[in-house]
Amino acid sequence: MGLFKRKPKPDLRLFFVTDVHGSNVCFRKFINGAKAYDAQVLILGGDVAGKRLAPIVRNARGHFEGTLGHRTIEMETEGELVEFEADAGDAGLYTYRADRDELEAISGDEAELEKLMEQLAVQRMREWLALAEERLEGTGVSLFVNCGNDDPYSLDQVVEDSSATFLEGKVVEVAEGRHLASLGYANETPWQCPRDVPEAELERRLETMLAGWSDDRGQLMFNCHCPPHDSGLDTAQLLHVDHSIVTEGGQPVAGHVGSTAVRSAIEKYHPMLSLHGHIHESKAATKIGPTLAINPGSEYPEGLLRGAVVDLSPDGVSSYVLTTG
Amino acid sequence: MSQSTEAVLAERPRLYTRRSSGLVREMSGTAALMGSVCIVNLPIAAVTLMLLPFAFPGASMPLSVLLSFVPATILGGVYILFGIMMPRSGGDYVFNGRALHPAVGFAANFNFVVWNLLFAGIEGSWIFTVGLSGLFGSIGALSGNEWWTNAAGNISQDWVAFIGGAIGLLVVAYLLTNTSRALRVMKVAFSIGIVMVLITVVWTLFIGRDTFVGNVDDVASYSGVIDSAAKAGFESPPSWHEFSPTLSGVALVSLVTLFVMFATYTGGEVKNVRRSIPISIYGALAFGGGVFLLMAIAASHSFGADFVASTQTLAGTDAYPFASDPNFNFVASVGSGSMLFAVLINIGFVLLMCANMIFTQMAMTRCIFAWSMDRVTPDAVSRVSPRTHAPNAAIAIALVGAIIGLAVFVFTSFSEFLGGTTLGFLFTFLVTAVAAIVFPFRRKEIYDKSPVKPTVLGMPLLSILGVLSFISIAAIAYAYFTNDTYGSNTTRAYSVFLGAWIVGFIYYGIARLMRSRQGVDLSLTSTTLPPD
Repeated sequence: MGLFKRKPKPDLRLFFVTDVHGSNVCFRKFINGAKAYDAQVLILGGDVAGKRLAPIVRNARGHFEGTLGHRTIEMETEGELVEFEADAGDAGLYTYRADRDELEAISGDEAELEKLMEQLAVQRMREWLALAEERLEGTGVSLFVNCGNDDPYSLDQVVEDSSATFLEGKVVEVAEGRHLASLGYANETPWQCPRDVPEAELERRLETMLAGWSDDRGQLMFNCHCPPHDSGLDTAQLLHVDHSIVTEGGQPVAGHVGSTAVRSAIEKYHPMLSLHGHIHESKAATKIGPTLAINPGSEYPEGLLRGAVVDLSPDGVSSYVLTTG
Repeated sequence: MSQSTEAVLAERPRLYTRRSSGLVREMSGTAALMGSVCIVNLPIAAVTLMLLPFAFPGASMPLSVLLSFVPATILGGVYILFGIMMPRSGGDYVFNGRALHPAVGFAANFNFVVWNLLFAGIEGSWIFTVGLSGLFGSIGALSGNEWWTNAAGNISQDWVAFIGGAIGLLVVAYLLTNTSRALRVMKVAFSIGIVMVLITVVWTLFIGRDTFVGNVDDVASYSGVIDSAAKAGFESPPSWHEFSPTLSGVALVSLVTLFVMFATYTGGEVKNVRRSIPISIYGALAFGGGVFLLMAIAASHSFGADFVASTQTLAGTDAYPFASDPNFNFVASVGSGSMLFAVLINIGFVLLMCANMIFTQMAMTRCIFAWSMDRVTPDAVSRVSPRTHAPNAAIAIALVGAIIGLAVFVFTSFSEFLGGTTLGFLFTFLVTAVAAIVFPFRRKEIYDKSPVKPTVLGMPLLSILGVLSFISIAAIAYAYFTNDTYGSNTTRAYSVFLGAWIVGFIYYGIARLMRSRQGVDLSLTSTTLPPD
């Protein structure tokens, strides 16, 4: 019985979260998690960019209007504007103040809108990393960040330029003798996201990254944004190409949407821990051979930070807890 | 970045969404609504409604049912707001754990699960003792064929009810190993069942007292039943619209309406929670409660409260002239004078029982699953089938619990078990009410970030509904503590009630200790991180 088994004493604690999708409050909670959970290593998995833009527009009365959820809010004072922007930011939305003509010009030009959202994503990432640097300075806590399949490539450089360690495509020593191999790319989704690639490409990237790996170097962990196929960490509703839900007898059909290449790599290299995200609704932890695989899931729209606190000992993973902070 | 954008809202300042992967929840609002309607337990209504005039002479059946909507509406409001603020599977386990303490959340939810598993067992036996026995008994009565009459008695035997109920629970467990299939079966069973029941209830209402009496007289004697009950000691009240017994009866019929909050137990799977949860909870109360109210009006108008109370007085005695217990379905069948209606209503109730068992067991497996995800119970409990994604271990635990409940109900006279656990779930609701009162103040950081936080005169609506829920549920609990009719105010019932709570707390304490020895700190699962 797992409940009664005694484990060796841990000497390192990781706090892993993923899929925060632009939520300011989730990122702040993540950084604050180092102290709250007494973690020495913070790992931010992929999908850090927000998905939505809430423009703030001046109306005929000279006031500002913005839409949050299904509510349109009219704001008269700067204080109300700031409050609206804070609420939107906590829900993962980007805000942009514009007059109606400017907004109409942008919304009619898809490329311009894309560019604007990317700029806002870069700006928010810079703010986050500056906050992290300020709060973690002198604490001895290390911050590791990767991007996911939803994230624009311009975020990579933002992380590279910060005091955080950018993880993509590298085997990084997160603590003495503990190595983390990371891949933010995912197998192809119906949304055709920036880092969606075929399974063969995922396999090539994983093999390239792990080509020089030898067990003599210490303990190996994975941080692959896409969960392994058929693992229980990858259960989602199946969708048609047009994003409509696949149904059978009137019921939605769930299926495994994880990566076969990621699963093969886990089965080949036997990392002691494999951290994943991507499928928000598939919060789970499971064993694949000797590997503990975890997807803490994501509830960023509600401002809730799902995560995994993992204790490591020289023998491997000592214990873990899935958190909702 | 994405390849395209879409305008979500027109006219107003629009939200722009870039193309990106995202969360897809499995349970539709319709399925959640149907599940909650199933939980407005019409099979238990068939039993409790007919007990009401017997247990509380003078009570108005329709008015008691209507008044039972009040606590259900208030408590439903608490669960709606909590369900939107914390849309995760597990319902009050999550709310109470967050708002009060994880140990309180676990113990309260443990109680609720124990009661529901017990009830699932009871319902398994009711398929035979209420549904099929009612069907066979009414066919026997209407046709005069003794084989059916004897079959009605035989099918109510303890061993038949146990084995049949256990098979029914096994079938439900099998269905739950595939969520989509279980929901599909639930929808079909419910849809057919509710149509059958509705047709018969409307027919019962339509035929009125004279035709009903005439049909009963073809089988037994309407006035003879009332006379025999009077000789057996039943005293007919001066009026069937007395306020005090009507109010007292609310506690009894609330067992049918209070559970509309079940959608929150599967909240993590429900799509568009802000819309779906209120619709499923209040829609269930409006629809399921409406059918219940129709049943009460039909019973009062066509059966007559004197006749209903008299059948209950005579049930189990030699003077009782029928082959089946005087539940709503059986009495309506006999009174309809029609084989077709007899078949419709009894099969209808059997189908509703099946649908209810499916959704109840599904909701309970989600609670058991949530305990394991928080590592309070062994990890194996939250393993899901790689093929069907169903939490098979949790389903198996729910099955074993329900079969134990079935055995206790069928083979022992331990009726206090039901009374004690009923107090247990009422106290779960009381704890949830307290959680609602304190949540906006105690967990301000979560409340302030909630997408829905209505206020009334500056006070959080959640707290106001919490206070009102506490008062209404406490009044119901008081009735169970003080009225012998409920069988809850006995030492054995109190032992079960307190025992389940104590077991919940002790189990949580042991789990926390054991996990601590493994280096797992259970308190981390509910630690709220500073948001600033």
